[in-house]
Amino acid sequence: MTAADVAPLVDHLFRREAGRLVARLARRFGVARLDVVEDAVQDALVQACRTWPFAGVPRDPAAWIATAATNRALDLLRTTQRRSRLLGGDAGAPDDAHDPLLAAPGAPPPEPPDPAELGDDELALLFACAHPALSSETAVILMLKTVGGFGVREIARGLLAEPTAIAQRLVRARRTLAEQRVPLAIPDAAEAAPRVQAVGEALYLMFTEGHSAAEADAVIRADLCHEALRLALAVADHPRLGAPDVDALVALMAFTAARLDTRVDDAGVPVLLAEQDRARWDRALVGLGMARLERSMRATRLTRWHVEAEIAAIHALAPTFDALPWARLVEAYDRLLLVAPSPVVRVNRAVALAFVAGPRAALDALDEAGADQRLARYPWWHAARAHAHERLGERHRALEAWEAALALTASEPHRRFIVARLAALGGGD
Amino acid sequence: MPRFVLILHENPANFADVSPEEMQRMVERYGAWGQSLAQRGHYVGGHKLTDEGGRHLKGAGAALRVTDGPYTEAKEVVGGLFIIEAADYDAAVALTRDCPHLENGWVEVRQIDAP
Repeated sequence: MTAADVAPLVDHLFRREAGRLVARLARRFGVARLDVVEDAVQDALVQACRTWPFAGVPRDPAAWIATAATNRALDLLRTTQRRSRLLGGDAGAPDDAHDPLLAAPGAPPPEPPDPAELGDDELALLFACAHPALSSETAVILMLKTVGGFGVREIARGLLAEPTAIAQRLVRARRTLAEQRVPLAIPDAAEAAPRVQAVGEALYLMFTEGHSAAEADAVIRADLCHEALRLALAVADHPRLGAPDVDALVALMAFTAARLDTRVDDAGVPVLLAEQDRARWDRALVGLGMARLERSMRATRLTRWHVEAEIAAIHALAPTFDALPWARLVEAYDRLLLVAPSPVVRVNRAVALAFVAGPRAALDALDEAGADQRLARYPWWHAARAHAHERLGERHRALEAWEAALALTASEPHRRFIVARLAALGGGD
Repeated sequence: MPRFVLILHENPANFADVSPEEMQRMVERYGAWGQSLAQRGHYVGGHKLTDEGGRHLKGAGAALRVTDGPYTEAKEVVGGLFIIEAADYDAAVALTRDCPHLENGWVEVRQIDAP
């Protein structure tokens, strides 16, 4: 580290390179050695972190890390081989000189110039993570750790889980991939559609997790949303795998991500849609949403992502809250119920219905939805009822509903919001 | 101007859990800290030590014993050192308080004795 000019590192360089290298080395050494590959990449980054402060940042940081990671992987694999030979006494095992995988690396294949873009290696790993043998929840964790370059603690914070639980799920997931001998390859035409659907579902879940609660750790939650969008874009833009419903998924994510900054105020309290500062919605993301929404219209089949993208578009494009076309939103929710019926969608529909047909109609719709017992544990059902009761001047019922919502809410910012509503009604404690 | 050695103490295991993003931030903060020192003329040099425990020599003559220093099982090792110029200890401490090493270890500041 000298007084010489140190070029600033590109945003998220380490994270992106981690993903890229894990993907490349996993493809080279096999999915059964994924854990060794991840360790090698981590060790290379640690080496960089501990050496560059003294030696300076190299002119090509990505190349430096790639070389270090490859060498480290070879070291670790040779040690593992030697150890298993010593322990197993396997006289017939090939030694290093004959193992093609451990031969000297040679020139790495050319990478896409834009560090934000995904190469084929990363797409292959992404699809492996969404293998049918793994649940969507596990796919999300594995995607974030391997392709995403996130750390275990970051993933735990983003998903509101314990780091040890995340680590355990990763161990089991890697073991499953090894046992199933999951190939690291981009699916061929015959199996592309269901595999793309599986990846899409995992990315939708990843985005939802990032978007769900306005928790204190807003940065990592936003990172999850942006990562889901980045990965979805890579699939949408692939010449063979791209499909109209993936464009719809991208549109849905882009419109929703455009509003991320305004959802929570400086104190971490959620801001109602009506009060969000629309001037701060990200125009570039809204533009991306529009472009992909249009491309998604090529579809011959309406999917839930299409309808959700449409709903998100209606919100993103309304100049003000008062200008929202609520009747169109209700109608869109009706269509969503046809392709993806769920009690939560009914709640959202009822909220929109309130603006069209008044709070009594909304309450009736909410009570009808409440026939599904699951809603009793869903705080937003109670919150929507509380709102409707308030607008009807039914103070006592509103207080009851807010209390019920509060009892089900773990998120601190949401709790603060509800407590404020209770105080405004002159109730609660 | 007096010179000071900044001896960087750390636990080798501490980096296991640090994420790529966090490591990048550390590198960036080192860059900022180092440049700030260099621009103001305080930076003299820095050396990273290799990642192993070194050798311990004890006893003289026939009683000499040489052992390998601990590393992976050690709770704490010296990872490297910086040499800076500062008017006095207070000034040296003021320059060191932003050192990113403090995020992952501790720093010992010692003045070099010079005639």
